[in-house]
Amino acid sequence: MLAPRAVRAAAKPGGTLICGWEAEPGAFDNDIDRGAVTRTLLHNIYDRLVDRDMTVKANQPLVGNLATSWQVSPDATTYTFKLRQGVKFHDGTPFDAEAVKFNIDRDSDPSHKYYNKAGAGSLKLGYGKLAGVTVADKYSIRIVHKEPFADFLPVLAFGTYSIASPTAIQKYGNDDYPSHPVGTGPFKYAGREKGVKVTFERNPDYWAGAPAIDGFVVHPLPEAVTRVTALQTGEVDWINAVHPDSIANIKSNPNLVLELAQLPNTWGYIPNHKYPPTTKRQLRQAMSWAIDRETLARDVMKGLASPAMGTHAPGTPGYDPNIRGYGYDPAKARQLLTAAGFPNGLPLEVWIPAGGAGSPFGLQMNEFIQQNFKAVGINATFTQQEFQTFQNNMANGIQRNVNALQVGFSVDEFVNLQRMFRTDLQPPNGNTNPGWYSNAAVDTLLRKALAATNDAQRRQIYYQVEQSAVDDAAWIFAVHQKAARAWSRKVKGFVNPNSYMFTFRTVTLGA
Amino acid sequence: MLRFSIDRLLATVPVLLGVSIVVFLTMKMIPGDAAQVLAGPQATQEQVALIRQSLGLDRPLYVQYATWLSRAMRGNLGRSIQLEAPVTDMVLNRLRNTLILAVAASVLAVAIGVPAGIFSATHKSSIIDRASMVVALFGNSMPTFWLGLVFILVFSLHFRLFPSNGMYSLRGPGGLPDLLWHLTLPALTLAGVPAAVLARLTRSNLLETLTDDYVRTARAKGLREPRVVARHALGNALLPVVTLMGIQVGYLLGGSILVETVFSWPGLGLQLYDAIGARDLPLVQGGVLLAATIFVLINLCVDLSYGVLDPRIRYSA
Repeated sequence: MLAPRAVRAAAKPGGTLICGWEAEPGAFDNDIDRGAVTRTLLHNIYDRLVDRDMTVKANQPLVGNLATSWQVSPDATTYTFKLRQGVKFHDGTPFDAEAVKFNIDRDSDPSHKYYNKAGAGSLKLGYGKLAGVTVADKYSIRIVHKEPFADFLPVLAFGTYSIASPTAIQKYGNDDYPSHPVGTGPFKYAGREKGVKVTFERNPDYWAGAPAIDGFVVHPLPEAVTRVTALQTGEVDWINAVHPDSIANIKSNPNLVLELAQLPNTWGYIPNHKYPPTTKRQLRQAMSWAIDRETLARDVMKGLASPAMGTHAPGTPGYDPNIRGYGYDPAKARQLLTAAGFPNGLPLEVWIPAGGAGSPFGLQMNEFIQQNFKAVGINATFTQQEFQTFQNNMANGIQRNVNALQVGFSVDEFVNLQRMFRTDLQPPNGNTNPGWYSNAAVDTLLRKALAATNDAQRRQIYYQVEQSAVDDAAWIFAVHQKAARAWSRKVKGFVNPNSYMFTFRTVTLGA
Repeated sequence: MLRFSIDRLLATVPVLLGVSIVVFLTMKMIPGDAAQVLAGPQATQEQVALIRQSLGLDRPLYVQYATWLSRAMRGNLGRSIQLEAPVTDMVLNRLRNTLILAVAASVLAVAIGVPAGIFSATHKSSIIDRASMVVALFGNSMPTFWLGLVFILVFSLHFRLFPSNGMYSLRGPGGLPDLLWHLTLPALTLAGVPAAVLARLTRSNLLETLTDDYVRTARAKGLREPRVVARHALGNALLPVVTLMGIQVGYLLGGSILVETVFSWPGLGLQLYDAIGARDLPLVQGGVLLAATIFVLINLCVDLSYGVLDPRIRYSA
């Protein structure tokens, strides 16, 4: 967990890292997801009970953070955490079991004085079925769920399960706290000039060792060309979301470093499993075989993606290299279409979100796949929907007149498979299975996974779920997107993890 | 003049009310609601309903409008969803930066456009006249964001003369010289269109005036040409230019959304751009309302100044 000592010794300590961000970050509530541009900063201000170690490039392990160890009951309902001692929040408040209970109650108990409705909605996945939260002693806490919940630990590692200072929440109240965030993390929030910069200072008392840099500044630079120019002219040291057209340019500059990160993202289509014709498995499989993923990733997306065989991207924690997915085989697609009863092809109505589901290539990707479909006889009409209209359709489920929705989902933990494929999470019980997917065998496996406290066993069950979903063509998986991040050569020790999240804790600044 | 001013001021009230209704209804017509955004994707319907109730979104539309308007008139434009801060403070803080940019661009537009127009008119059909009118046509036709990006690539990246973004250097001490240095490229970009429009208008007005009888009389008196232009023709030729400049200032506020985004200039435009991206409706609403109100007020000032400059308008009103 400690920063690499060798790296730290090589460069001189101190200095402020200046970062070009692709949008103005939102407020820093510890418990609300304001998108990746904000969420990654939560990892720099706050700690969680457990965490994915973002100082590791690939397959980040789950490690203790504010919890040093934990015990799980055999029925996967009761979690007892031993907490780290001697930790203080940035405002001096001691961290202990009461602080953890305050945070959980605030986002789950409507009678709590500082109950946060929006936070409770955001954390329903982890705290939605709590039976009780008990302070066992000053440094241990017991959390009991009403049902088995073997996915609880990885869920607690999400950025929004960050632990905030109870004193600060009481001092500022729920409305003003987000403008005065106080955590235990490696950096302290030091102020914001809206539209100009957000400043973070090093926490000299950080329990895992203070960062070497004095702090970092986040400078919003929404225009892609301006962001790259600012890096090239030295106005900033580090930038996110490099536009694909600038990659070659940056790579040819000896003073700059550019690295890709595989994101835990799955980009594809959710077919309508409730209304025909996509209820026919052979049709969905034909769609899957029709997509030329290699060309899509290499040429259309300029290398900023890898072909998707299933739900999890290679190099991210849930990836299974043995998943048997779909290659590019138009002949096989045509055969399956005929077998499905469409020897002369068929028309399909596909809805895509305006703005391309977070990808700079959204429209080109859809156009390319539309051509792939056409080549095998599927005449798909792609209709763009305004983002919010699209979201409402996700929440209400796909209706009769639409055959598939295009989505770019973050699939970072196994628990996402629960949300994507469980029958009882179909609308209106959630918006993550809008295609009404339902498979009794998969439901049984998903229930079994929630009760599997043995990690290896749980992993195997989820691999089975993934293979079943792939065989079923529950989704039409296309690609896993990547992110391009770049920085000046004087920035040393930055680990560019396969994640939307990252930390500046290990960074040092050279000459 | 007093009567004229009062009439004009009173006429502004229904316009501003109309603006407020349009802004309010436009935001209501956008699909989805603030409660859903606040509650997040995993919230239950009950939680969304609770938030909707606490925001007053379950009440009839006219009640919501009346509440919103009465709060807005007392300076309360609600809270930003994404930044959890009062909208009024946020938009007023950013307005100052937009005004700095708009005023600088106006000064540049006048400083470039008017002399270019005068020079073209007094050297009609010369190569310089034609060249400057081609440049003006170009300036008028090019999208501002494109012009901004070209300026960044040429003057920031290639020649390293000016910074590509921001209002002050994040590493430097700040101060007025730093501000002016950062202001140059965005102000030039924003000045492109109004400078072109002013140049063309000044040229055509001056050409027309130079053929008037009283100008011929001045020449017949034996005055030299520069004096004829400066003392006699220019005053009349520039009257419509003043009006046009007033209207252009209003358009500068609109054009600043693109320029501020390209140069990360922390003004109202960039704030609106960010707020739209984050679906922060109260902030979008507040920003649009403020910009529209300023547009109306600038037009009022133009009307009043017209009355001062041209007595005929005052009396016919």
